[in-house]
Amino acid sequence: MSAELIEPVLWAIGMALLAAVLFTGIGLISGTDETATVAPIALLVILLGVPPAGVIAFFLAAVIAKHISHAVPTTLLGIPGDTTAVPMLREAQLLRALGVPHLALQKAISGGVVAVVIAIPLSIIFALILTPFAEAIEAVAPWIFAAAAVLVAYTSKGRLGAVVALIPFVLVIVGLQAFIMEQKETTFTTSFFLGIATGPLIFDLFASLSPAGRRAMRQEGKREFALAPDVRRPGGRLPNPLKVLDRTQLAYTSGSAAITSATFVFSPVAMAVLMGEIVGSRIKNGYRRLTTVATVRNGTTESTYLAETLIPLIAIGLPLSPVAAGPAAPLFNAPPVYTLDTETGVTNNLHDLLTTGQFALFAVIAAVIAIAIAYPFVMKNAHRAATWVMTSVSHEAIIAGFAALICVICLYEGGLLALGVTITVGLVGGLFNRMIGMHAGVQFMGYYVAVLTVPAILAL
Amino acid sequence: MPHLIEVWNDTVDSRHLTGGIAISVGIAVSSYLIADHLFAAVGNTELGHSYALLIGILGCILGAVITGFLFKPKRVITTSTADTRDRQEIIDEVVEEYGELGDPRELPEVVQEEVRALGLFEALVDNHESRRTDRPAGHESDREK
Repeated sequence: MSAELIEPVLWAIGMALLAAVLFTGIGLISGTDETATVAPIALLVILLGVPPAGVIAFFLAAVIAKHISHAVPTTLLGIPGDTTAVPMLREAQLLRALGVPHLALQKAISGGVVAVVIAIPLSIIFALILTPFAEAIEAVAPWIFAAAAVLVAYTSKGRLGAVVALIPFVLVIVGLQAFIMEQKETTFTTSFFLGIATGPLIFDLFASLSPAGRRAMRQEGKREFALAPDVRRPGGRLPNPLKVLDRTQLAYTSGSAAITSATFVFSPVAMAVLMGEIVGSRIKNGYRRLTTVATVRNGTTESTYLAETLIPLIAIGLPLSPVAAGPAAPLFNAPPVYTLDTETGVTNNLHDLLTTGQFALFAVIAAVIAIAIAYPFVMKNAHRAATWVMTSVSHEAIIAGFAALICVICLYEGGLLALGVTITVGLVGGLFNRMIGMHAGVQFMGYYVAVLTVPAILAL
Repeated sequence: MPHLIEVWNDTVDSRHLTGGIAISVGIAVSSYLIADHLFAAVGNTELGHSYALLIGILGCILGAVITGFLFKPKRVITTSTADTRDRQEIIDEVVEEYGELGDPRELPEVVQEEVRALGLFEALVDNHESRRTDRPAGHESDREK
């Protein structure tokens, strides 16, 4: 190893370790959406001045670890760990009903590990195939973002409602940007991202302030959670992911990971659903279908996230995928550290700062560390960890921590005006999310339509 | 419990939530502002701004930990010791929701071993047999999906 590579590698190892520990923990907490947790914390890492090697390793390790430990609440409690855990919820609940939640957990996380191993090299290969077309793609980027926004909106729960709602949403952003430009002679990015990512939380906090909203949110008593009994045999060695899955499951998981490494423009949840359906329709035995679909669906959450981050980063430098525009958004655009000039299309982000070989190296480091931490931890301590989180970590503390995080990051970016922007975008975005079914991914695309497509339309 | 509301997908006490946010935001924002001011005063603006952010983040974590100690979770955890009902009844419920679970004897050897280790083998065989005698024709396709 050359001497100048030692420092970046040490950064990658250190940040991957930090991310793996932190996000194995966050994954255990049910309902912690990837965009709402990974994006702000990755942003923070960038703003604090961590070098590119550390940033990419941090992000990838965070996602890989979270998509392993998110299977704990999903299988043991029957509530989705995060957004991408929703598609495997049904299989997890049925296996839990059969009294074998530990099997669902083992299958799901082993599927995740296998998918990571497949997706990293394939994503890099697909990125290399796409690289020659990067300039052509960049030239028409404003129109691609507009088309992607409409497509992502139409495939969201909101359907046509979400498509039409893009118009007021984009106008709100355009209007805010114009006002910020007038006041500060610069534009904000972070506060818009934060508002979109934490929109549902901000909306709920507003609703809880109004008597009418509070009535609708009232709970009759404490919520009950039935934790599945700990049926795992005590002791024993750590199960090998290749042994937990049978040959068919291994083949289907690898196959769907390979396919979803190429389909990087589609939403991870949609791909997890689709892959599960395809695989499920090919398996006749019901029991085997349950375990295999759970395996494949969790595998897909890993492969989609890796491909949707690595391919746009390596090949294009523009956030042209639902993950790149959402949880991975700071890797593309986090002024003043990483910038994306909306007028000229000139980028200065991880795309320009790392070579493909470096991406590959740091991705492998992140994957090895995240798997080495999250997989054995979940295999050994799932039941104990789930019990501890449910009985000791209050939801008040999580919300309070995020509310404080929003305030501090906004003040850092642009004082009280930035805080106002986040609250505005969060309230509007959260409202659209809850009432129209326009999720954060659509809104991130809407943001890029506002900063890329709208100027292009005006220039016609 | 008149103050329990659902915020961001889980139950909180609205008074505890207000208190928690006040504590965390108070600690984090004041530590950030003080740090930013101090770094600016010693003339280290650009890097100082980043360090102030770091201190603000530590304030967030401290605030969340204090909130966690003050206010306990509003969840009731029941660890259901294995369902006491008849195994067949449970499997019937799953079949009702998902469709036939199939005959484990037709699975490859490794998968059969897995089902045996789970203690589900006999139960699944019994369930499959009882279904076959109940509905002799077309039992495999009519329960799909």
